[in-house]
Amino acid sequence: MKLFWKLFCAMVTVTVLGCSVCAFLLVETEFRSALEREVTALGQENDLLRYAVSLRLESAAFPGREQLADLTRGMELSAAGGAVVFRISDEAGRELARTGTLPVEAAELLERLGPETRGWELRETEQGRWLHGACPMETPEGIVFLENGRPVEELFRLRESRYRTFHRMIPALAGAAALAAALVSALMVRPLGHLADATRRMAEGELGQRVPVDGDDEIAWLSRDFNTMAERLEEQMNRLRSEARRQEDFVASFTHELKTPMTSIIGYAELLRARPEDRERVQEWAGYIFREGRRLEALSRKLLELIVLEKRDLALRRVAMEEFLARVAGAMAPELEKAGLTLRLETRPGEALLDPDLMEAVCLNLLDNARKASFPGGEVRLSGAPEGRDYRVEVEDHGRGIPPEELERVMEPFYMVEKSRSRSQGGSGLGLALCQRVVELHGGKLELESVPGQGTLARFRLKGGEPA
Amino acid sequence: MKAWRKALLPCLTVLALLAAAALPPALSRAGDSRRMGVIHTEQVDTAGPEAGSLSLSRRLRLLARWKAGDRTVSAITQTLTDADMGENFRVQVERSFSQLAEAVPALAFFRELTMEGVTAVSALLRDPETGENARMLRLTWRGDPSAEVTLDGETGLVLSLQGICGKEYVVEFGSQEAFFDQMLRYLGLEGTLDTKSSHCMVEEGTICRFHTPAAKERYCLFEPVGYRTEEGDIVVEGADDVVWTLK
Repeated sequence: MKLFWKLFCAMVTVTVLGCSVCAFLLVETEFRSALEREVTALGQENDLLRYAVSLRLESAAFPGREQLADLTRGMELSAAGGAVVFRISDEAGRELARTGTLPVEAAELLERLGPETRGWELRETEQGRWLHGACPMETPEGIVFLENGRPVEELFRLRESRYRTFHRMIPALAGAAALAAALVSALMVRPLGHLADATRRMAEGELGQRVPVDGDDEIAWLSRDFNTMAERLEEQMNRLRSEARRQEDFVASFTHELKTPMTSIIGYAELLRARPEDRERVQEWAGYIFREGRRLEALSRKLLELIVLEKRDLALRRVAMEEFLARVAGAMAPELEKAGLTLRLETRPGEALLDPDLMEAVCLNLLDNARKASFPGGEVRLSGAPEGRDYRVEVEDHGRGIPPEELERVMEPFYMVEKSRSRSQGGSGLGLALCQRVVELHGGKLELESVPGQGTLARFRLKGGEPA
Repeated sequence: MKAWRKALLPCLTVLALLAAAALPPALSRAGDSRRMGVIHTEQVDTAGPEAGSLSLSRRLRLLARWKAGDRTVSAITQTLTDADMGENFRVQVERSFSQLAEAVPALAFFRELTMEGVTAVSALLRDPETGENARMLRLTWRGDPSAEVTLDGETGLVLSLQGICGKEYVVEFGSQEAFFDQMLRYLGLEGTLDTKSSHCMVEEGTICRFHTPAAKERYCLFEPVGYRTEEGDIVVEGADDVVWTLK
């Protein structure tokens, strides 16, 4: 059964039962109050009757039991509701005097009364329900009982009338309750339906599903949390997809980078085996095999470094950057000069927290990339300066530059802008990936700005850049 | 099994609706059958209730309420027989009228009324607020003269009167103020007079109406007709409106 119907049935049941209980309590309370008033009036009338009879007995010449009929003849007891009938009986229940007809037998009540006890009872008679009261009274000839009665059938009729009205109201009440319950149930279930639909679609793979959030109740909180969960799930899935794609690219690139030198090595080895007598060519072929072997070695070393970096905890120390960058520049200057390039060093004093070996590798990699991208006669700039609490390092060349669409991917492992040129220059496609990882381990980020044909600027910041 | 479970809640709902309609009267009837025939008893003083100690103004008020048909005032009335109206009774009534004639000379003709043709009704009234009783005697003469007088059963004082005196009597009622003063002095009460409406208010907010005839009239009246309620309203029998304001 749907939740809507469960709520609907529950609300209709509770509402109608609640109204029924209230109606019962109201009608019954009103009835009991009226009955209590009648019982009180019965007692008061009995008191008054007793007083009247006692006065008559006092003033009578012969105040005997047998004279009671004469003494009370013409006596009328009037109260709310009109005339009241009464009867005077002796201890045996024999009637001594009466006005009107009391339609209730005395015996049962009188049996329970003692000389100092009065009582009342509710009796059902042929004339309807009656309250019947009796009280003992002393006379010179012993105890007599004064009985009086009040018809209370009207109270019962009034109560039945109230219940008939209630029965006439029940269909309208149930109808109104059903309408209200349907409305409330629909309002409550609608957001849950949205959630169920969205969940089902998400299970089918539509991770972009969101539900509307209305109000500030528990269901709204649930909807909001569902949306948050869906957003995070979608982000996570996107990240996983991107990661998987990178992994695939990595494997493909790695395979390709392995295959290329291996093809050369196998090819030249075949030539060596086939034509060992050609001494000149043997040297040349062996040289190719050696270079490709070195490239494979460099590739495996860098891969190893990359893997090691993932698991390594760096021991950073405070280093004076001016001296550090001067040492890096000194190490790279011959290579640059050999390529016909000028190295310009612009540094300002400052300190940074770093692992000198790893950071030197980063700077050398960036300078080497600048060398590869530059045209002969060009200039490569290595600069360093404090920037706030950091120390900024920049490597700039005025070479080929990187197309904007490839700028984002150049830091991926094995990605090369111009593959053949890079390989011919000994590139493995892992340099920038390595640099980025090292800078990240130092708490910084490697940024690249490049304009094709004008050059590239590589920049990163290191923590602890206060002046020494 | 599954279908049965699906139908369970609608069935329970229908049952609940039927129960909501049927249970209240059934419960009430069950309560009735428990109440019916059950005898409730309590201790009572067999010596019987004592005469009430209501003040005279309170008795006037009770009389006014009874005459006005107040359903909360219980009363026992009994028409007295000739045997009840013996010599003793006659003496007591004559004494009451003598006291009245001495206090209010204009009402001296009441002293001449005999017990012949009189209807006497004894009344026992119960004050619903205090539960105390008051005895009264109402005497009615039809003919010439015709009169109706209510005597207090405890003191014998005339609490209300109206009558037309016989032609043989020469009655000098005097001013309204004088009649009012004499009546209140006779009853031992204090009050304020409103001559315009011919009403007065005595102690405890009881309203009395009186009428003093002009020169050739023979009708006179003094009777309690209303009272001030706890809410401050004044209920007057026979006034144009039930609630009447004393000027």
